[in-house]
Amino acid sequence: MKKIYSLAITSIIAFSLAGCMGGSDSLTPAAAVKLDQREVCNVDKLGLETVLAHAKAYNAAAIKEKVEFRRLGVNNSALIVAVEEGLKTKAKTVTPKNFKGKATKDKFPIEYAAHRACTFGLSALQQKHEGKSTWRLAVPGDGYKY
Amino acid sequence: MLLKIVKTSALVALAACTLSANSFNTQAEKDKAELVKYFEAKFADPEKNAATFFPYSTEDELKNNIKKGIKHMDFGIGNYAFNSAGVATYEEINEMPPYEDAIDAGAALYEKKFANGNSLAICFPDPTIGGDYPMFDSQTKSVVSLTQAINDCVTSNGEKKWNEKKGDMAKVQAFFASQTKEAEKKVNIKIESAEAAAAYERGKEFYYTQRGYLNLSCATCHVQGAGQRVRNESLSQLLGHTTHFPVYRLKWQGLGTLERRMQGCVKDQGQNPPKPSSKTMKELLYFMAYMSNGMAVDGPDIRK
Repeated sequence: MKKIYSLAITSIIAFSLAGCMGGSDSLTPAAAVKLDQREVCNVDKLGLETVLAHAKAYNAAAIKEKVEFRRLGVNNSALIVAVEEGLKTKAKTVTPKNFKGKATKDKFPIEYAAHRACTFGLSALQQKHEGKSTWRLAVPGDGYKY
Repeated sequence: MLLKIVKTSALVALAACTLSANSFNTQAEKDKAELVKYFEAKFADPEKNAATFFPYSTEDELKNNIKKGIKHMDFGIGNYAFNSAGVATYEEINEMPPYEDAIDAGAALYEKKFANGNSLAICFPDPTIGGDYPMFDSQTKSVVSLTQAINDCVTSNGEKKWNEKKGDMAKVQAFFASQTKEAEKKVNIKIESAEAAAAYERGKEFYYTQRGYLNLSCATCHVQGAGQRVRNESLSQLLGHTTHFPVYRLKWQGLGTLERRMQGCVKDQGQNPPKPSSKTMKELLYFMAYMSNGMAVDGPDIRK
């Protein structure tokens, strides 16, 4: 009986923490706007592993929302993979692959890559939420005045 | 007397149905009219209205490189409607159009028999359909692009799906576009149901929503930014964007479909683009094509 109680409590804490830190796969754009990138993507404060976990969670949600970022031919998921591999090999720099799966010429410090992967994942979600209320501002005859 | 009542009721019912069918495109028609009004105002006198529409352009550019007094249908030829300097290069390249072989190859593919004896000519007996797609399929309740329709024909006849961005797909579309242009047909996109209107609205929302790490929307460059210069290129306007595809792009050194170009645009905004036959892409094209309704089909063409 004690074991069941402790398992239940551990599960509740784990799920709550995941929700609070935005580490859940089901993070919605509306929930994402409440998160502060300077906090949740801070490698110095949280460490590489935690920021990478956040990046993975945010980017998974961004992919689900079809808003994953791509910069210079590199999808954010490829940047995450590069950081994961870098962590495994204890590399100081990472070289992400482009969207065709080919190696790029870019080389980033691993901390920078983790931070960027995290902010890109979160920005995509926050932008999705904000876009819902701002897109009409660009429509002639609707929100756009000239 | 009874016959009169039946006749009148039938007429009223028919009129109600017609009115109802027409009303589904009310918002789209309003959007198009507002867009035309905006672009006509923008290009009425760029030099005079520089503060409102061209705050970053130089006096020389406005005076010598952007034409004025452009009207609705003039926009059908893309940025060559206003881009004086670009027209000279465009006309020079068009003396020997690099897409002509592709039209011939497309015509051959149109007639070529599949392994089962059928052909694209059986799926599409009328090749002058360049202005009719994307269309809304009331059976599947989804938008069907020309690319998808061609691939549906190819795969339903037991063939392997074609590349949706270039190659044979672009060649057949070049043939369709040239046939449509020759027949002097116009873009003719229809919105005839609530589902079609909803698909149009989603496409519109995608077009005007900021996205990617650069936080740009399609409209940032091609509505508000149209006519302005990025490095040495003039940004084209949404009005008339779909009329001339597929295009031979100098950057590609080959012919490509509208989906290929749109993927490039979304990628330039800094986002992983939607797949060519995804719901998002097809609805985006549906919105864009509706904005060009009534304009002459002018493809295939050349672009930088």
